[in-house]
Amino acid sequence: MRSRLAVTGTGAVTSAGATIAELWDGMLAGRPMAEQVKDPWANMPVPLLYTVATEHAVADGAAGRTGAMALRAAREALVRSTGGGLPAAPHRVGVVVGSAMGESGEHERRRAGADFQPAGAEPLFSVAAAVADGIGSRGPAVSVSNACAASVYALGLAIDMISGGECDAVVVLGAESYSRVALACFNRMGAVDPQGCRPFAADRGGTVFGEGAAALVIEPIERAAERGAPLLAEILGFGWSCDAGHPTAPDPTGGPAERALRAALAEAAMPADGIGAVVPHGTGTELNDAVEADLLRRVLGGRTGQVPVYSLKALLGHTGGAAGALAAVAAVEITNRGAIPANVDVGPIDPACSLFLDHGGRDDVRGAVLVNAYAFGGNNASVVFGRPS
Amino acid sequence: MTMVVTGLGAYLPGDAPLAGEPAEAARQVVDQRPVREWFDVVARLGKRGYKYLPAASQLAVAAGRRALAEAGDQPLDAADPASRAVWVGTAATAGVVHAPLDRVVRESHSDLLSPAAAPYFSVNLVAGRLSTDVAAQGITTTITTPSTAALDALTAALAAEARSRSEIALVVGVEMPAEPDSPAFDGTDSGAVALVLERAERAQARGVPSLGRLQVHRGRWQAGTATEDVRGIAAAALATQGGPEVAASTLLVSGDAEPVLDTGMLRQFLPALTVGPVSAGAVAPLAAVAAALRGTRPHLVVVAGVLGHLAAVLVLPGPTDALELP
Repeated sequence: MRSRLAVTGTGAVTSAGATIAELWDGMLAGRPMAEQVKDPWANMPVPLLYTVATEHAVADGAAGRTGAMALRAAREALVRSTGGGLPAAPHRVGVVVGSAMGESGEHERRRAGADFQPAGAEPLFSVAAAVADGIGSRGPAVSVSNACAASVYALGLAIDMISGGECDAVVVLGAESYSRVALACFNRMGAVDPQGCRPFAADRGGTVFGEGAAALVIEPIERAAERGAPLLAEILGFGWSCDAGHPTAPDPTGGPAERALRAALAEAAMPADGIGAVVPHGTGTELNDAVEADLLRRVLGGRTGQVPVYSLKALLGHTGGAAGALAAVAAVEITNRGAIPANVDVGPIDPACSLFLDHGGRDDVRGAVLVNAYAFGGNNASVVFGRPS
Repeated sequence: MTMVVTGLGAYLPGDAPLAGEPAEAARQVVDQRPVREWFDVVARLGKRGYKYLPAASQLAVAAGRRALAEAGDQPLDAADPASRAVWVGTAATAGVVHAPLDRVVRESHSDLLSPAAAPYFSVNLVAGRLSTDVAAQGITTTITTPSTAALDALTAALAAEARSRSEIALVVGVEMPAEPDSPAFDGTDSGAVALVLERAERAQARGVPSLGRLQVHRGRWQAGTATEDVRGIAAAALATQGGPEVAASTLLVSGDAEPVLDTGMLRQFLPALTVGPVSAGAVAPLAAVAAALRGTRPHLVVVAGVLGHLAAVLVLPGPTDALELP
C-alpha cells in the first residue's frame, strides 16, 4: 500500500526568477525571454535558450551551473518545509534528481578551453551528490536521466523510497542548464523553433530549450502534519508507461501515454471528472503536442472545454530533465491558490490541439491538477496533485 | 513479497567469462579497448538494426538477451507488456557519447552531425532498444548515479516489483570506453551485466530455479567519517531479517574514498574481506554482485563510490529462506 504523501516545500530557479514567488509572478506576467546563447562555439542554425540569470546559477557548495541551480531550489524548498533544516534524520532523507544532461555544460566549457584535462574530471551526473552534501542529507542520492520526463520519474522513485520504508522524506529535483551538445543535436533534428517555444500553436516549429531547476520536499502526510509542516499539496496518484517503440517520436495513438495518465487517476481513486486543471508536457514539437492534445480530449471528454490548461514551456522553454519538476511546482501553486494564470500568447492555436488554453486566467480552480511528462524513448509519466484532505 | 534473480547475462571486455570472485569481476570491466574489438555485433545481435547503435546500447541488448535465455523458457511471455520493466544504470556513457558530438559542433557545425547519431545525446536511448526488443511497455528508466547507477536501478526495480508496478524486470549495468577528450577518460568501466528479476511465486510457477536474492542498502560517505559510514551501511545489510551468515565480503573502493578509508579496520568487521576497484562506472558493482550470485554462500558487496555514493548489497545465492525487503 502506498503512503499518503504531501508536498511540504517547493523551490524553483528559472529564467523568470530565482524563487517560487518569482516564478508565479512570471507566470502571471506571461513574458517569456529567449535569447541567443553566449557561446562562441555554438555553431548551429538556432542557438536560442531561455537563460537563467548568472547570479541565480551560483551557490555555495556547488561547482557546476546545474548543481548550483538545484541546490538553490532545494534550499528554498527546505526553508518552506522546515525553516531550513532537514525534515527528518539525515540518514532518512533522500535526494533524487532528474536531469538529462547533468553538468554537460561544464565539461563543454572546459573542452573548449585550452587547458582542458579530462583525467580527473568530475562525473557528469554530480548534481544529486552536490545537493545531498549541500543540504546535509545522508540517505541515498540518486540521479535519473529519463530525458524530458526525468524529474517526474525522479518523483516516482522517491514515492517508492518512502512507501518502501527506505526514507522518511525525499527532496525531489529537476535541474538542467545549457548544453551545446543537446542544443546542437536538437538543431540537427530540425526540432528548434526560431520564434520561441510555442506549444500547441498552429505554426509551431519545434521547441526551444530553457535552463532551470525545481525542488519538492515530499514526506508522509501524517508525519508532516505531526511536525506542523505546511501541507502544500498531496500527491494523489502517479503513473508511468513506455511506448517501447520509436526512439524519438511518440506513439501516434497516444495509447501508452494515456495508460500512464489513467494509472495515475486509478491510484488517486479518482475519475477523470476530478481533474480541475492540467499542466501538460506541451513542447512546441508537432507530434508531441498533437498526440497529447488528442489524449487529453479522450480523457477529459465533454469537459475538455472547461478544464483550464496552463502551458508552462511557453514561458520557460523546454527545461529538459527539469521540466517535470517545474510543472509539478507550478501544479502545487495552482492547487494551493485555486488559481491558474493566463497562458503566454503563442498565436493562433492549432485546431488539432483544441484544449481550454484561452481561459484568460482563472481563480476558481477546483479539483486535482494533472501533470504530464513525455520523453525520448517513449518514457511517459503523469502525476495528480490535490489539496490535502 | 520476495523477488528473486532468475537470469544473469554478461558481456565483459575481451568477451571473457565472468570471474568467480567478485573483486576480480569488478577488475575485469576496467578496459579501454573499443568494444568492437571484442564484441561482434552482427554475430551477437544479427545483421540488421543494431550495427549503428552506440556500443552501450548494443551491449545492453546482448546482456539482456543472455540473461533472459537463462531465465527459463520464454520468461516474458506470461507477462503483459505493460507489466515488463527495464532499468538501466549507466553513469559514464553520456560523457563518452557527447565528446565526439561536441567536437563536430565546435570545429565545424551542427549540420555535420550524423542524423542517426544525434538523438543519442540523450542517454536514456541506451535503454531504448532493449526496451523495444522486450516490449517493456511498463517502465523503462535510466539511472546515472556515479558508481552506484546499477545498484540504484536494482533498488528501484525491487521496489517497483514489490508494489506490483511490474511482474518481470531486467536490470542492466552498462558502460562503454571513453574517448580521449571524454570526462571519463581517466578510467571507467566497459561491458554490460544484466539480471532478470521476478517474484518468487512467478518463478516457481514457471518451474525456473532462483539464482538468488538481493537486498540493497544505500547511503552517503563523507571524508571525515568514511570508515564509520561504510561500517554502518555494511552493518545495516548484515542485520537484515534472518541474519544469514555472510561467508565473505567485497569492498569496492573508488579513488575518492581510498585516501580516507581504513580498510584495515574494516577487515576486522567485514568477514573475509577482499578489496577491489570502482570508478564512476556502473558495471563493476553489478559484476561483483553477479559473481557473488554464482557462488554458493551469502556474500556482501559494499561500494564506496565517487562523490560519496555508498551502497551495500546482500547477495543470497540459490534458493534460501525468504528474505523480505524492509
